[in-house]
Parts: sequence; structure tokens; C-alpha cells
Amino acid sequence: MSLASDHDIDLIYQKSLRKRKNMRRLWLAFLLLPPILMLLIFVFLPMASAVLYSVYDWKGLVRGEFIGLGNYYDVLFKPRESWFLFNAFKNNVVVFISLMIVQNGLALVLALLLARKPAGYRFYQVVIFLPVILSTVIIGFQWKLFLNPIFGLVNKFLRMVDLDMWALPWLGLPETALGSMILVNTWHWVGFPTLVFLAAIHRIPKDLIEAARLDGANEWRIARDIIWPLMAPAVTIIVVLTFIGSFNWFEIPFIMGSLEGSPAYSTDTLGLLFYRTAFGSVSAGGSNFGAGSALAVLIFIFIFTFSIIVTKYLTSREIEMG
Amino acid sequence: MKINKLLMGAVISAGVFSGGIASATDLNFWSWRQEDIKAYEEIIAAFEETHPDIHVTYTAHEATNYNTILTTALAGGAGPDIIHTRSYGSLEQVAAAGYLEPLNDQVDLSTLSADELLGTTLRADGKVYAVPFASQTVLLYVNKDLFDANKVAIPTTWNEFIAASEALKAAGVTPLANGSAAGWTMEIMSGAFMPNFYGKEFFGDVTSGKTDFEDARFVEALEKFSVVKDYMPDGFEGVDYATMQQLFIAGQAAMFVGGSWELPGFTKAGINFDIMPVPSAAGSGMVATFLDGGYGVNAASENKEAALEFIRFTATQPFAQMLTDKLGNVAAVDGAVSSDPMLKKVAGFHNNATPYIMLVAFRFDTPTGSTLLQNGLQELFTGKKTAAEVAKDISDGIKAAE
Repeated sequence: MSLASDHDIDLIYQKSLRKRKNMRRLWLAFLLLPPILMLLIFVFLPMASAVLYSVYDWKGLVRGEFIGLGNYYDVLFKPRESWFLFNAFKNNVVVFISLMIVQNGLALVLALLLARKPAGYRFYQVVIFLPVILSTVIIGFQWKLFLNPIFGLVNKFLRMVDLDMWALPWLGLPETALGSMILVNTWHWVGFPTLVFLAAIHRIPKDLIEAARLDGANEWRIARDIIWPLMAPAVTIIVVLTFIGSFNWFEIPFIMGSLEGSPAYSTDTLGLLFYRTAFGSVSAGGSNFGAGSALAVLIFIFIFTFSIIVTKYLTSREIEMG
Repeated sequence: MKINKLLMGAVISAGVFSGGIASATDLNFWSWRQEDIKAYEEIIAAFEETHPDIHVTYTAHEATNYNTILTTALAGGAGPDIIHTRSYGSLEQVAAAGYLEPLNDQVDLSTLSADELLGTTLRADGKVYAVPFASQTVLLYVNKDLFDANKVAIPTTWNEFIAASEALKAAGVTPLANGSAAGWTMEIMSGAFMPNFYGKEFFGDVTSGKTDFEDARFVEALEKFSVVKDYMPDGFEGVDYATMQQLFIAGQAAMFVGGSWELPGFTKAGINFDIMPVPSAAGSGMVATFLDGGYGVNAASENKEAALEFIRFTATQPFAQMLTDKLGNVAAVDGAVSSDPMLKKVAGFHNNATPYIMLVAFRFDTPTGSTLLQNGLQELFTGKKTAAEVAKDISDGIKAAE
């Protein structure tokens, strides 16, 4: 038996390379297929069916005749329906702006403080992030109990420190209900933007900050002119996520208020309105899949378009770190 | 000898079991009454004793999503053979889509009153699609111990009700446990208070179109009802259903407006309570009543005849008696006698009753009268709108409903 010639070795090598390439392709396909299938089945298919449903007239769950954009006209322009849509949309806008200022503002302050590594900062980091891993349902119920006007901790505390006039039925007054829920949302989520901001600050090269400090810049200058511009990518992510989260806001108002945006629609959101319209409720009557789907499509188009615009705009302002 | 007997026993039981499996018709029975599973299993066992060839399985789904679960299953061609239906507007959703079997010629409905049958009749064709099962009554619960302890007499007229509430308040007791955080509990409360003010004829007038909700009687009823907020807990705007039950059970509030469905819970909690209609100016007031639901047959069921047999059973006195004894319900079918003094009282109140207005007559179209009223009452009680404005909103909403 002779040794294989160079040519043979080359052939074998190429064969194995091809084989390996094929293996790699197979392996990639194997890894990619499940997520692609998942996306198709759980994202694109429902989206396509929502569009399809929205152009038909529905009698409960029975599909009626094709009515084109009839459902869209109904939810956008019929006086009662458009009042609901506008009212819910307005609440979502309030939620977005408030979360941007209160939740993300607080997160930024916390991140800047934590970045300076005060004593026990690891402990604070964990404490601030802890609520994020809790389920929204638990948080909603827990805060509903805390805010109970009679047994609740919040009002008991306020009465204890002689602030009786502030011991309000927080979730029962149209003026305070939405604000209370926004604060609960902040308590729940503030850890997430804090962590993202903190990671972004840690990414900034230390010498940049030290150089600025040597040049005599104070902490405020450093935060404003060096840290803030350089953490822009993190800000982009948080703004877009807050935007999407605010316009899909459902769990907290559903658990702490009701499907009807109690009291008196002051906590109604697009998510609640969609659910109520599509699936009905015991007091609000039957389901209307057509109008519900039309609402879902409109909400999707709105969030999708604005997310892209906001992302494009914010990314264009980001500075590449050299 | 012994072995022979054993063998014979085995052979006989094998024969019985295999025969049982081969010939029994299996029926599925869906409901939203999770708390009643045990009672229904006992009732079904009684039915199966006389119908050994039929086997019924009771499944209870989550109450608030029951309508959605049921209609989804029916639309998909599935669903149970026997359907526990809700009444009025909710029944119409299922019946109008053709999912239920009309019962008029197939079940003897003579044991049921016209009022009760109204709750399971489809307005479009006038046919009955379910056998009504129980009526619910909206009434006032009073904690007798709290009244005694504070030396306040239980009121018998509207003026006495106000005076008693003032006296309790002065003694540091919350007169009424109810809050306005949950819209539906506000609707329940209005059902106890408002009929006395708008009178017995209003229901007929407003449903026949002779008047609308801007009627002076209704506006005045709203105004008089809103006085009650002075006797509700501090921060009542944030008091939800669980909290108000807690207040009454813990003896922190002297009165509670709710439905006859609270009876088992309050009895179990060991409160020394009594029930009554909210007193009117002249004395005995009206209660509001509604039909809770019924039993229907899936029109697409493969075992329709067996299912109908069960439905026929639900329209009989023995069934009604079991419903009364085991579930503490005021059965819709005539002839059931309750040994429970509270249930007897509830049945007595039906002599002076009015339909629970929004559920009975205005939950067929959107927006429903219930959403309009619930939202309006929250606005009225939190001072956002006046009685006249709320009445106008309700009236406009009902007229625009479709």
C-alpha cells in the first residue's frame, strides 16, 4: 500500500472542506429554522390575519361580509369611538412623556451616582434592579394593596406623619389614578434604564474623563459635555423601548384599574381599548373582531412608523467613539 | 364454592362495566361557575341515577373570560353539548349566531314565568334558547350587631335610613361599605337605590320608548342616590369589591349593598346580618332582580337528544329543589321550597321587584347601558359631572347604540 500522493491529499482536503462547509450550512439552517418558524407563526401570521380580519364585518366571532376600510372608518371617525381612541391615545402620550421624565430621568441620575462607585454601590445596584425581575401582575396587585385608601400602607404612612389631607383614594380619583400607575411603573422598571445607562457610562474611556478633570471641568460639565454625548446609543435604545412600552401599556392599568380604564376612562389606554373592543367584557357587551383588528393594525402602524423615525433621528445624533 | 362466587362476581361486574362503556352517551357540560363544581357533580349524579345511559362531565371555566372561551370554541365547531348560558345580551350573542338549539317544542317550559323566560329568549325570533336557572336579587345587607351596639334602629323608611346613617357616622362607624372603584359594584348599588326613586313604571316606559334616560324621574333618582356618598367609607373612590366585602365582614361598616349571591359568603363569615330592600319614602322598597342564566343545547352537538334529556331535567321541580338546597340559589323553576330563612326572604322580596334595568334591557348593543351607567356613576360620585349631565350621556349613548 503506497502513501497517498499530494494530489490525493488535496482532494481529500477539499472534500472535507466542502463537507465542513455543508455541515456549517446545515448547522446554521438548523439553528435559524426554529426562530424563523417562531417569527412566522407567532408574529407575521397573526399580523397578517389581523389585517385580514380588519376588512370584514364580524358578528361576534362569525365572519360576515367584506367591508373594506369600514372598520377603520368606525374606530377613527364615529363620534363615540373616536372619542375613546383619542382619550386612550392621549393617556398613552401622557404615560410616554411622564415615563421619559420621571422614570428615565431618575434612571440617569441613579446611573451617574452609581458610576462614581459610592460605598456599597453593588448593593444599591441590586436593590434598584430587583423589581425589574418581578412579574408585573405581582407588582400591580401589591401596589393596589399599598394604595388601598383604608388598609393601604401609603395612606397609613401619610396619616402617621400628619399628612392626612394627602391620604387620597389614589386609584379611585380620575385626577390621580393615571399618575399613581405611572409611578408604580417607574418603581417597577427604573432599574432597567439605570443598568443600561450605567453600562454605557462604564464604556466611556477613563482617560477622556480624567483629561477633562485635569483641564479643570467640574462634575456637571463632565456629565453634560462628555458622558451625556457619549452615552447617546444607550439613550436611543431606552427612548425607543420606552416609546414602544408606553404605547403598548396594558398590564398595570388592567390590574390596578379595570378593563374599562376605571375611574371614568381616566386610565384607559390603547391596549385596554383594543382588548375591550375585540373581546368584549361582561358589562361592555359582545366582541367585535373587525373593529378590534382595525385598532390593532392602526396601533401597530403608529408604533412601527414612529419607532423608525425616532431611531433614525436619535442614531444620527450619536457620536462614534474613536 | 367461594371461588365460583368470586368468579361470578367478576364476570358480572365486567359485563356491567363493559356494557356501561359501550352504551353510555358522554355529554360535556360547560359553565363559568367554578365555585359550584361539587354541587353540580352531585346534581349530575342524581340525574345519572335515572338516566344510566347518559354520562355528563361538568367543566367550569374562568368566569370573566367564559363568554370568550365559549364563543371561540363554538366558532371553531367545537364546544360542549350542554351550555350554561348567561342571560339577556350575552345569551343573544350565542343564540343569534345559531349556536343554540331552540327549546320551545322540545322542553316543557310551563314551570317558568314569562319574566324569567325573557332572559333566555332571542328577541329576533321570540324563541327560548335556554332553561332559566336562577334569579339574582340586588338588596341591602345590615349588620344587626353593629346597629345594636350603637343603639341605632334598623331603618324602615328612607328618612330613617338617612337618620340611621347619620347616627352611625356620628358614632364612628362607616354606615355603608360600598365604594366606587369598581364600576360594576356601582351599577349594583344603583339597582338597590334608584328604583325606589324612579318608580315602578319607569322600566316599562323607557324600554317601550315612551321616555328616555333624560326623564325627570331618572335625573331625580340619580340626584337622590348620590346623597349616599356621604355615608360611604372615607376614600370610597378607591374602595373596590374586595375591600368593601372586607369592611362589612370585619364589622367596620354597618351596611352593604350587594346581590343575593353574597348570602353564602356572609353566612360563612359568621356575621349576624339581615337582608332587606333599601327602604323607600313610604316604607317597603323595591328590589331589582335579574335572571342569572340558563341551560342550553349546542345546536351542533352529536348527542342532541341526550343533551335535551338533561335540559328537560333542569326544567323540573326536583332539579330546582337541588339548586336551592345545594347552591343557595333562588331557582327560576317553580315549586322549590327553601329551608333557608334568608332565601325564603329573598323569594318574598320578589313580590315588589323591578327588573335590574341595564342588564335586562340595555346590554344588547354597544355601548351597553351598563358601561354608560357605571361610567356615569363614577363621574357623578367623584364630582366630575352632575346628575343631569350623566343622564344626558346615558340617554345619548343608548340612542347611538347599535
